[in-house]
Amino acid sequence: MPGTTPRGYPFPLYTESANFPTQMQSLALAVDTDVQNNLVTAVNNGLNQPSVLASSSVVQSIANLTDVNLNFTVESYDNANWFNSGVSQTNFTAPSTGFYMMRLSVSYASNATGARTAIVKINGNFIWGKTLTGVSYDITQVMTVHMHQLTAGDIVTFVARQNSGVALNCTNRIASINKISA
Amino acid sequence: MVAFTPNRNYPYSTAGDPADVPQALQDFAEAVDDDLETRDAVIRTRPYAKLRGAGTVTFPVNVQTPIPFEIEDFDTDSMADLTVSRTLLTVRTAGLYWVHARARIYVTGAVPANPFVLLILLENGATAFGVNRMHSLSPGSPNYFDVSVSGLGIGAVDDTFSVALHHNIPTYTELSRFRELSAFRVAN
Repeated sequence: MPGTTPRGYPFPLYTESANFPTQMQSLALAVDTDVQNNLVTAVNNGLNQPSVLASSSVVQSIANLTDVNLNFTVESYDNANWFNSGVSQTNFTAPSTGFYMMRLSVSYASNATGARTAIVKINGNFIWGKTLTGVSYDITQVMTVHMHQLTAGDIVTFVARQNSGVALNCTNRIASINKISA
Repeated sequence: MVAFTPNRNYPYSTAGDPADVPQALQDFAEAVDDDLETRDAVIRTRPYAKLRGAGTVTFPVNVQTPIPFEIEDFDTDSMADLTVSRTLLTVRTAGLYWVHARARIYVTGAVPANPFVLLILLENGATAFGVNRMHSLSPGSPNYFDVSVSGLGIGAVDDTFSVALHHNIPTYTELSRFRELSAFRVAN
């Protein structure tokens, strides 16, 4: 019975009969499997973290004092099946559990009354938001970046809210999510 | 005949090999060493670059102007060459990049009635992929404000990332040395 290292590599004990080719083959194959499965794959996954980038320039109306899920029509990048516009234009599904960075940039039509907010929700629950005051002479662009733990299957939505007193058009919006760590 | 493992191609002895245990172990050890060293280098050289400013610079009013940098803090993939361009990071390894920039802007005197300051991330000098637009500009003490912007850029080899400033404040004087541009590859 050979001994094994903590990673499971076999080595002959002093009391064993010498069978160098077989013992070396066992060691070589164990190292090969470990490096391939636990190092190379981990490195490759670490260098290619689950990420998604979506946007839209299709005008979307944001009702007064209402949380409105932003819809996205262009998927520029998605390496982990985050987004399927055929199923939902608003939902991003976390492919694996981990720590993620979420970013939203949303533009509101010009209007000087009230505030404009960009919100990140997870499973419908408010997580983070940023608010700016509206202006009359330019679009109001709100950008927020937030880091948060996600569990595989969590639904991330990006939400707009404003209190100008009337419905306001949202022109351009960009959302992205990147996994940072397991 | 020496055999090789199926994934990493490490050599090992078979029954018909000459009994040269030291040589066989050396060949195996060196193959594992080379392989792990290569993997390690892939991690250590993950593309990341950061530029920052060294002195103040002035900018024209109402013209979108690229921000220049003088110092290269990090650059693991030869993305910057300040002797060629002080404004660009060039993609050497295609992929998805997180790009971030910030600037500190000094204002002296009153701002116009409808002020704006835009910090814009650009791909290939033309396509904006991140914009931060500021309107609440009330210089007092201190007479500066900080702007930052971030975004994801999809970079092919030789694509460039840069950051530009656009404003309409005649009394704006200069951009401080507290300006920087960084890019980090997050996915293939």
